Amino acid sequence: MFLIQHQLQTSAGPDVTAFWNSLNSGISAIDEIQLSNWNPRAQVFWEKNWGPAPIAAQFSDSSSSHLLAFKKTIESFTPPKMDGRWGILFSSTKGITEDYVWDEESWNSYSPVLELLKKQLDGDLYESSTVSNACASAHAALHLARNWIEQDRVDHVWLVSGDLIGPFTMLGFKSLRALCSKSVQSYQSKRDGLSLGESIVSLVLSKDPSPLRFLHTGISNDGLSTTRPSKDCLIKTMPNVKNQNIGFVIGHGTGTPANDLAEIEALNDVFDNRIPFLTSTKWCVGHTLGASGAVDVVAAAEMMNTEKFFQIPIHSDPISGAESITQNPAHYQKALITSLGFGGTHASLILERV
Amino acid sequence: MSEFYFSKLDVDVDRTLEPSWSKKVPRWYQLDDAAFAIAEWGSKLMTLDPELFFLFIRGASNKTDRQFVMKGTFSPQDFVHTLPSVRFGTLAELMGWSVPMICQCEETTPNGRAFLEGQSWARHGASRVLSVAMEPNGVAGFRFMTHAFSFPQKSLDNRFIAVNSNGNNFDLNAWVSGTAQTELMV
Repeated sequence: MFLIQHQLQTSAGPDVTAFWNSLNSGISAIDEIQLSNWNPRAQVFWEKNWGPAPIAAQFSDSSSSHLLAFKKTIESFTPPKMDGRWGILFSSTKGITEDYVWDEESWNSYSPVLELLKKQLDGDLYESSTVSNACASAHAALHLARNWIEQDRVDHVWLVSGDLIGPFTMLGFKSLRALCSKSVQSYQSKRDGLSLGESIVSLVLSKDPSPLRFLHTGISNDGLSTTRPSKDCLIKTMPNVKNQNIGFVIGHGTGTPANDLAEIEALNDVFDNRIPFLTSTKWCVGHTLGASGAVDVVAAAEMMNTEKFFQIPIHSDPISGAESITQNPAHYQKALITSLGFGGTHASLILERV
Repeated sequence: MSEFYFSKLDVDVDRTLEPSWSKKVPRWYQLDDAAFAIAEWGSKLMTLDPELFFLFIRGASNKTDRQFVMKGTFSPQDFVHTLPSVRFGTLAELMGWSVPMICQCEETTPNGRAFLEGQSWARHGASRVLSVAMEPNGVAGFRFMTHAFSFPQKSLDNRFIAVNSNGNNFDLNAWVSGTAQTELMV
């Protein structure tokens, strides 16, 4: 499966250029939450139950609902006109739940976004679905897309991964004590949590060749790690990675103590304690939940296309075994991208420059 | 030759008694109704050992989402169950599984989608594929429609019926739309 096109909107700006410039210049888009971006019911609920606004990585423009925000961004995406059979996938942790959860009206947390994609696609649609594997949703959707193509059910897949912030998710992660106090310090000794972020990513995938190919997608789920990641389960998703000559790794790197530790242990295991250059995007655009794996695919693609790299800003010492966050990529030919999610979902993929 | 095995099971959510599987899911009392139901379902199909699992859910986690905000206490265990895929984590904990699982939220035809997805993977070499559609049953529980592909017959008990999806009596459109269910379900 090849990556034909990538587009996205993040808190850093409306397109890939803004995202890439922000990563390269070391500028974080994480800031105080703007409550005005939320619908009035959500604002009232928030002020009653929280108080001062925490930090997060929000879109700079506001929409009165998450569905409208999705609509605006999706309409700005332009998947290329390609002959053949198309599949559509929407991957998301919470979809547009924030539009519904504050009232008693009828629910439909995911399919309205899928319908937007169907309207936007200019092609013959054969398959469509919504994948929700917690924070590894994008990886799970890429695994599904690769198999749809390899099973000859479709020729191309348009995958849109997206999650937006609201009081529901903020209160949930606050209850887990997972939010950071000041900054995201992925793989560093003084890390104290994550910052939520917003992103909508478009990936056009195809059996038709392009310079970027998905060499591997893997996913595994166990029941031992509902909220705590499992080193062993992540290792299961990365068979034979050591012999793949990986040039750099874009890790999940949420900045929570448990996630980063499990990831480093797993990576040291599969790379025999010699992890290639390791970086992460969450210090810049936050943890974008079900979109985060797709955000990292865009970052890897840009690294390969430009042969430039970005490091995680260093606030404290790297945790033991994570020293490669201060190094440089060995090369730009192959990237390993990892992802973990609640409910025991662990995933990885390898993107290769052909 | 039958191509797959099918089971329909309605599971009531009765939280008044400690479930038979409580020792394997120590925090069973923290589960939301959907996770409780899927554990009940799993406990009845204990002999199965899939290599690949698809979970198609109608209604996502909407009920649990609503309960999370209405309760007002915002506990981590309540929040975790607002993620639709987390119910598989409960099932995996109960069954001791560690397998690839893809969770798909499907409002229109979860049963048909479960059949088509499982069938395609099995036809392309995947073995022991369980593809399950789960939806509220309109009473006080959930309905599970299970498609088992490429399992040894001996691992499937009498809760499953054999279905020949290539046979003359198999109407794919009716199966996908759900209108054929009453004839073929046990």
